[in-house]
Amino acid sequence: MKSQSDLFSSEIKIDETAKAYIHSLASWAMVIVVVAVVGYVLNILELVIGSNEPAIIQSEGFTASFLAGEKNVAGTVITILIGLVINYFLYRFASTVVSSINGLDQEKFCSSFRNLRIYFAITTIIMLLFLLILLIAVSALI
Amino acid sequence: MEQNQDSSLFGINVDQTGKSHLAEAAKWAKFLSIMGFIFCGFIILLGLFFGSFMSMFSSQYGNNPYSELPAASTGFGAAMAVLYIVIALIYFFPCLFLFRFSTKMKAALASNDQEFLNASFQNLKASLRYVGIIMIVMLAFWALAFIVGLLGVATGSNM
Repeated sequence: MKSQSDLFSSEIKIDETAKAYIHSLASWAMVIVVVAVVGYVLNILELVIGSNEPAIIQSEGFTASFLAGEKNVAGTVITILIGLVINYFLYRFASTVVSSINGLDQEKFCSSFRNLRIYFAITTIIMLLFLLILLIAVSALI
Repeated sequence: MEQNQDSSLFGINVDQTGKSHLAEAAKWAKFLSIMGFIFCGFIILLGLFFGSFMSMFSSQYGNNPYSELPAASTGFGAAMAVLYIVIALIYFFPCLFLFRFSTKMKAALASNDQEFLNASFQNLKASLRYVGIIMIVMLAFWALAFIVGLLGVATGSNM
């Protein structure tokens, strides 16, 4: 068993267990991409089909009014575009890692993790921006 | 044993390029998971202070007749606090799996440890599976609300 690691002392082998995990995680990554894209399609449909006129709802007991039905087209489009970019890298990772394992392509396998790295990087930066905006909004409210 | 040696010769290994990509991915994943933990804490704080925030909001902006009933406002605040804590709890687990993925991946790359590598992939799988399931559930609810909304619009236009 030790002889395996002796052959590639500075490299880690992708054994059958790791392969199974990678296959499974790639499948779930694909599920995430598909569900996200379906969500974007629904979002666009909602934007196209939904009512155009903003309705003023006055909740019982509160004098504060809420605007409902007003479409934030720019916000939705930006959200969808960002989502598509993020999910593109997840899709690239999922498709490349599976094909590289099936075809025993060493180079493709290693470069597939580049897509995972980009996916995590973009998600982190967007999350950081979101958290900052949320903090500013809460501090402004207080 | 012989078969294992053959598969190691013709199998896939994580070379230096792969290691650098995985190390970077693990670094970003760790950052993302730590931010997720902070976000969870933020949601819990928001939930805990929701009751007092709502009472401050209604006293500033309105003449809420229910504000005379302390039980009603306390009940609403408590319900919202529970809801926020549940949301934070749901969000906590994928962050935990992601954190474990990054720490185990770093250990695997540092010591060329097969067990750590497998464990890190297992945790990444768990994180993606968790997020996938939550996304499916959310999409189902959203699609249902969308269909109900469409039916409501159709019924309203017929009347």
